[in-house]
Amino acid sequence: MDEDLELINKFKSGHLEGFEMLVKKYHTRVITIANSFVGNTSDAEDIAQETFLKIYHTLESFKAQAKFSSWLYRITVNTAYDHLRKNKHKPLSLDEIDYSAISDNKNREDLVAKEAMQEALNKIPFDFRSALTLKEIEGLSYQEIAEALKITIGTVESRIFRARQILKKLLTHKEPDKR
Amino acid sequence: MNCAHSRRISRYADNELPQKEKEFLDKHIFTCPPCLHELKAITSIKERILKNKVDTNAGFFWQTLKKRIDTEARAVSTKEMFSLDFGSWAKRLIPVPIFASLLVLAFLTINSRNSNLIDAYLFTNQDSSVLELMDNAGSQSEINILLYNQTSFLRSQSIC
Repeated sequence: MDEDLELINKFKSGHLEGFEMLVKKYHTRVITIANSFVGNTSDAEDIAQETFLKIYHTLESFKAQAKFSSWLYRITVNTAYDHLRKNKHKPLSLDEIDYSAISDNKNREDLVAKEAMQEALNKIPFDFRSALTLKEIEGLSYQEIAEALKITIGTVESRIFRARQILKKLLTHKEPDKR
Repeated sequence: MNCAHSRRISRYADNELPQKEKEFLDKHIFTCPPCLHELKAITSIKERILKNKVDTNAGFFWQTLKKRIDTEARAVSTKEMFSLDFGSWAKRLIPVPIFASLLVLAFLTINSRNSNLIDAYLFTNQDSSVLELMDNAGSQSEINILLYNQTSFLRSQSIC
């Protein structure tokens, strides 16, 4: 039995330590994923707290049909999306992206900085960013991302590809191909 | 991207290609400048995103979460306590007005039935003997006794 399932079963049998171990194992990943959506650690921690609270309330009914991590990442992405919506950070569509704004006043050194990368990430449509974040930060396979986001592997590939194309354009200050 | 294969570089960089295609691109990339450029760009993006990884204090995060869980648990138990009290009181109180209403209804029905019988008797059975007795009665108390006797008789009949 995998480690996560053992911890879940421990929690189900009434031991909070099982849940505590899960939180300590995954909290950095959850905060990092959330941070890639909101761009600041404080909001990212709030999202992570909300995510783990949801997990705490529903873990009792979790069935081992899917991987715990896939389930956790899906809840993280959904919670981040709700947070962005509530805070009026409307996810952009491809047509709304301002490709020139990102690096007009920044030199090449700034682009290497975290803030520039974050700003670029913030301009990628939410769905593309979800797939890319799970790939780059978590190192999930396309199959695992497909399970976490409930999409096909082909869609995962397409979203990651397009997210990278947008990032490339943003970071090199060029107009994207219109499709 | 000027090469037909460059679109596959994203998947190649993620090590998600079938073995044959991967082997082909392993060789192709180093002979194709657009594909090599694409691979370098993707690798650079990967490195930059990884720099956004957040370091946090696991202990502090857990303590904050634990406090929220405890607070929620307390709120839920208080709510349940109140709802249980209300439930038990409600269970005790609900039969009282129902029982009282039934009693009142039964009383009104019986009373109305008897009154109707007495009235009907007085208006339809005005036989001469009763009227004569009433005429000859010396006082109101005698009339009352007479009516009492008649109505007792009617009640006994209605019960039978």
